[in-house]
Amino acid sequence: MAPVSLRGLGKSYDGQEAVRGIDLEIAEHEFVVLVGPSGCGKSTTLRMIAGLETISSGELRIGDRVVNALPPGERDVAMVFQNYALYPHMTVGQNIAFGLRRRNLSRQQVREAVADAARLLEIEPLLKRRPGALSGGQRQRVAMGRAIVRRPKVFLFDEPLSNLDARLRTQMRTEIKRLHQEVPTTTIYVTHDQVEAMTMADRVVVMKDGAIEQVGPPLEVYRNPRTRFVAEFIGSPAMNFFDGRLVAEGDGLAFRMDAGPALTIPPERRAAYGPIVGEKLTLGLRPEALAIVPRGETPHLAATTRLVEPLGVETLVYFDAPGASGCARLSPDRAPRAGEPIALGLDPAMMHLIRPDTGAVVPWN
Amino acid sequence: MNKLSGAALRQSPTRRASPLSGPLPWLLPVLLMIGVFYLYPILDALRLAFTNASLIGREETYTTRSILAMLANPALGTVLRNTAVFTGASVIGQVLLGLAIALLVVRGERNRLPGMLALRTIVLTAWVIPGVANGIIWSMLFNEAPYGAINSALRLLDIPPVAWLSNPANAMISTIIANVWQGTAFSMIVLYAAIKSIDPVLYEAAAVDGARPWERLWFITLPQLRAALIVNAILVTIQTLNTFDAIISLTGGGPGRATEVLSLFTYNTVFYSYDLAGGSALSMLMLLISLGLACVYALFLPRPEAIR
Ligand SMILES: Nc1ncnc2c1ncn2[C@@H]1O[C@H](COP(=O)(O)OP(=O)(O)O)[C@@H](O)[C@H]1O
Ligand SMILES: [Mg+2]
Repeated sequence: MAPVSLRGLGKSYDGQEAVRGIDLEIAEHEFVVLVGPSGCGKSTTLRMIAGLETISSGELRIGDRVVNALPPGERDVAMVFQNYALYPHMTVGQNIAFGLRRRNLSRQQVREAVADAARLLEIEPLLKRRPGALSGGQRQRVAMGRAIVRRPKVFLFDEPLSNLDARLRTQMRTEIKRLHQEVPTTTIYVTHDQVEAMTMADRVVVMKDGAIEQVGPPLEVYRNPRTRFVAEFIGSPAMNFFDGRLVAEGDGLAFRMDAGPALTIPPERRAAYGPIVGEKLTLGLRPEALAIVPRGETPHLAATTRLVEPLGVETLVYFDAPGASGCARLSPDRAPRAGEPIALGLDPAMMHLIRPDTGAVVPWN
Repeated sequence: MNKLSGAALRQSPTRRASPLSGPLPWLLPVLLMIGVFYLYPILDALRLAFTNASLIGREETYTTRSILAMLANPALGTVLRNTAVFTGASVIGQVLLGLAIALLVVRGERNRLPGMLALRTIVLTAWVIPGVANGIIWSMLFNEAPYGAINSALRLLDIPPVAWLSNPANAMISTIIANVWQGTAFSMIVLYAAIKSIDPVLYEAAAVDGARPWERLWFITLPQLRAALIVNAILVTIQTLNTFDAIISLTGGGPGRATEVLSLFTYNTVFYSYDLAGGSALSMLMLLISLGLACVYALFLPRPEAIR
């Protein structure tokens, strides 16, 4: 159990930078999720922390020690791999006990430690079996048992759930969270699945092209994405985007869509948006910021329903509007049918204004 | 009758009535080849063992006297002991040396050391050399005349010459060295391929678990190689049991019978003593030994679930 600190961490393969300038302070017991699209450098970052990749630049501390040059076995970290990496020729019990070899424990102590881990993960009946005779979910548990039994300073997970089916994935998600509560340990968890990131993390770290895009608690990142990339990546279905221009309107401001209505800017944002009046911008609105309104009400976005996905508690309505298409999250009793024309009201309180050239969200609070 | 079974009927006559149905026609070519080139000779040798056949064709009669005579042959004990020593030492030597070189090559490749392909190629050259040529090469190296390669090298180091081939105790060692030198390449290639197919993530997991290099070898590499090692040992054993070309050209089985192994003894029985029946009996003995050893090895093959 220890804080982990990444300072300017970078990795290049033959001159190609895969990861650069990662600055991240992870507190003791914190559960941090690295999330981003495939190839953005999440695994590389995690493997540098584990010691499986050499660090090209920067400094890595675990606890108060710089561990850049330490081999993996001396960093006191445990890792759960995507395909579990269980030792196929060893029984489950031997797999779990393997990491204890260096601890100089007595046979009895090892047996107790393995039994404890097995109890925690509810895999006691499997201890004598070999990995080949286990299901995916059971292997997953064994891999976690192997990590937990050592009580390491840091847990590292590299996409541990991506080989499981959807139901098991949801179940293991809560399981991992439960374990983290029972055995509070600094955890760094890598996934490309933003739902996993949102549901599990104390803080999410959104990565893109080998660098950090944004760090923050899940809801904070969801509500205040700093870039269009984050806005688009976090949240499902993705945010809707409409091109337009910020204009002065009376004594206030309005966002005038290129093809659509003008949206009055809430008064509390006027000061922040003042300097960019007249600029071409992109409006970002999450699906829940859209609602069906009576046809006569202004302003509204006239659209045609393309696809309706009833999910029970809510209904997703995919629509085509002039110059844009998107998705609205509606309550089931208000949902239109496919092909039906609809009028969508837009909630200005939930808007994001994005600079089209840099992709940066204009801050206002 | 409904439409479906009507359609099935229309198709089935071609399927059922054809003599080409079932697996047999597909297996026939292979069965034929095996039958003609393997099974028939084995059965014929078995038959010959129960005759008094000789190479200088006289009338064959069926008898068990050839077998009994061969079993009573006082040379047989020595030959079997030689065979055990030669085969045992060769198999152990080839497997261990092949494993060592394979581990080195894989390690070298992982660290991008140059020359690994060259090393593999050089080791393989030894293997493609015919056995007789191998014997001749080593007889030049072991030559005890002043120009003998190894002894002249020893002389440079002020070490007295060694009677590599003329001393019966050394001759077996020399023969084993020559045979191991040639056969190691085979083990190396088999084990190299097997090592390359071990999931590298296992080593990463072991590294994170704090396993030292020798622990990774002992707890991951060797268990993962178990099947390959055993299959390799079976093949090398059979190969070695059948080796006599290298021995003929190196020592001719001598001095005395010091390096005469079962295959060479069989060869000599047939082609020097013209005793076809006795040779057949010996070759049956060899077949039994090979089969027996293969079965023993097979007992140690890992269960399928342990490989996955
Ligand atoms: N061993 C390697 N050699 C060269 N490039 C690599 C290597 N490993 C990863 N990369 C590159 O580094 C980048 C980040 O990879 P990775 O960390 O695996 O991404 P992620 O886990 O986010 O999907 C990718 O562009 C990948 O091609
Ligand atoms: Mg990855």
